[in-house]
Amino acid sequence: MSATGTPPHSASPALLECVAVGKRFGGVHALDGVSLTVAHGEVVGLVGPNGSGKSTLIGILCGAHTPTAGRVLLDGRRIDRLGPHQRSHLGVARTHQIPKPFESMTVRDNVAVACMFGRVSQTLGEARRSAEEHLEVVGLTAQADARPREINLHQRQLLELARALATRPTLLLLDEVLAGLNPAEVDEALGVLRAIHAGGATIVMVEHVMRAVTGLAGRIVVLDRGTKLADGAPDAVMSDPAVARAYLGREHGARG
Amino acid sequence: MKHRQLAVLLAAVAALAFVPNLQDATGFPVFYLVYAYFVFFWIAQATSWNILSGYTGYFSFGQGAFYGLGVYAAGDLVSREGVNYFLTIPIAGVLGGLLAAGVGALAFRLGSLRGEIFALLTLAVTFTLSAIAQLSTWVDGGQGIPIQIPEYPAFLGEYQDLVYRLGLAVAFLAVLAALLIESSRFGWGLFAIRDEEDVAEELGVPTFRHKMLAITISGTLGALSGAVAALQVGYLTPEGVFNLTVPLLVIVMAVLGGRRHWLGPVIGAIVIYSLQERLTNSGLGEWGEVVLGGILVLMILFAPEGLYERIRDRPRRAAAAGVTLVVATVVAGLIGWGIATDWLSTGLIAATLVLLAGRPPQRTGAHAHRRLAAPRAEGAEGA
Repeated sequence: MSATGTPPHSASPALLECVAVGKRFGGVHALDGVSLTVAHGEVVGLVGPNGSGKSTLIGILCGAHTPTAGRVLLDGRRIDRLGPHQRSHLGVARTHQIPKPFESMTVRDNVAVACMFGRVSQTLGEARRSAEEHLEVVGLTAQADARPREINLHQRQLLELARALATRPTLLLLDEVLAGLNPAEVDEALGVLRAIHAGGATIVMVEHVMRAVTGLAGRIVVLDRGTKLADGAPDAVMSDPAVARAYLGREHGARG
Repeated sequence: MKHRQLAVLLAAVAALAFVPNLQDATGFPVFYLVYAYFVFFWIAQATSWNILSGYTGYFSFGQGAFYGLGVYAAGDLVSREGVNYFLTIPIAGVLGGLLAAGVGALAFRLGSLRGEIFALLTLAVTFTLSAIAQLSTWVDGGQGIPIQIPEYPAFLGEYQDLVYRLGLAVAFLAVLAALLIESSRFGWGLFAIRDEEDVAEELGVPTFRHKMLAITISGTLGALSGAVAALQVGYLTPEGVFNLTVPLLVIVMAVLGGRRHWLGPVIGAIVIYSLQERLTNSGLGEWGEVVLGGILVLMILFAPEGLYERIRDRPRRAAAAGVTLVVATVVAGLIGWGIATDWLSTGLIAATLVLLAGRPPQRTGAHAHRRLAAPRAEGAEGA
């Protein structure tokens, strides 16, 4: 099925398509007329100042929010009215900026739950075996039997990532997965993300660590006050004067 | 693991089902069968509560509604409509499931009512049913409903044997359900809901369907157990059936026994019921309640994760408690203090104290460490 509105010249068909998506909270326009297309295998960086609508957009993509305007299509199929679990079964997964592990379960079982219920459903036994593979990808094999509160923040973020991967997503939404990490940990996490991308995943990442965005994303989308300000190759977007005014001027210097 | 637990459970139930047959040979008083019936009853009710509230984290004060519905369904259908008692048990189960599904549809659809709002809603349902029983002359109308002893085939033995075995059957069904759920995909979905419901949903758990199924199973079991309890109660009144004893005691039993394993409510039901019985017969009168309350406060302070986890996480302490149980029971028996159930209560209280003594193990509670500001929280964890 080909997605409506996909430019005929695009290299690969669109996996994700947002058409004029809007979201109002009361009288506040958190998002207004945002259109966005993500091709299979792409890594798109989603940036913008605080309150620009990045998290709202992630929420709309994974089903936490219902858009008040527009449409969201995954592989040409409308998903904006589906519940989060249905989207997970279709291949959408996300991570949380503040890790939200299942505190009563071991690290392994945290991942096993995602294996059981994600895009491919597995029994408990199968899921525990698959969990090992996902833990290996993010480098948490040694912590498999620990409880989430016994591992550090970096490891909790990796757990968040392993859990998202365990649903076998076609579209992976990363919400500041590098926040709060030291430079060495950022490098390690970037290595993991590259490996995940090399495995064929399509990624949309919200990130403040500019080095990560420019190093990983082939394309950058800038949001400002709920609208799309720029969309293109990292170099071009970063040298856009409008972007510099809205985002880099206020945030880039401060955040490094 | 699961198969071994199933085998042990089946063997235990088979052995227990045979116990009434020993009465002719040993001549033990019928009282012990009544006592055992009540233990089965509380195991069924506490397990029913735990399948909803322990596994999903949706704390219910509404166990009395399922229980009461079961009691009145059996009572009214037998006494007013002349329905065969044995038919009323499955009917009560279906009605309990329907009531539970109704409550669930309301609570879980309305933006996931959680926490105290859910607890209040379930309590309100109980009060509503109680009011209906008071007002409706078909249900009760304030007159009270006497239950006739139903006719049953002779091979089932004495009347109390029948009640004992029915109670055992429902308790078995409840515990079996809890065990199977716990080791299934469905059960893990419930645990995920309990820990982080939104994340569970995002990872593909159909949370609404899971919660609906959990509450329906819980309501069915609670009402089944109520229908059997109608035989033991004998004379139904709205005040007697819809009071707070059932909803409060099941919570105490499941919380103290442990909510994260099917054995938790079983242990809790045995300990709390025998404790309560011992205190009722101690001649302390109302002071017995004070003592019970004090003991409960101590247990909540020193073992909030429940006795089961203590037993599992500290094998040596558990072994010591087991020895204490046997020794204290035997000693109480040799002294000749009261009757056998009193000896057992003494043993259970002593074993519980052994389990509770000493420093509590590290908390593993789902909500004990919910952190709001993760990045800086590492250092503060050890406290």
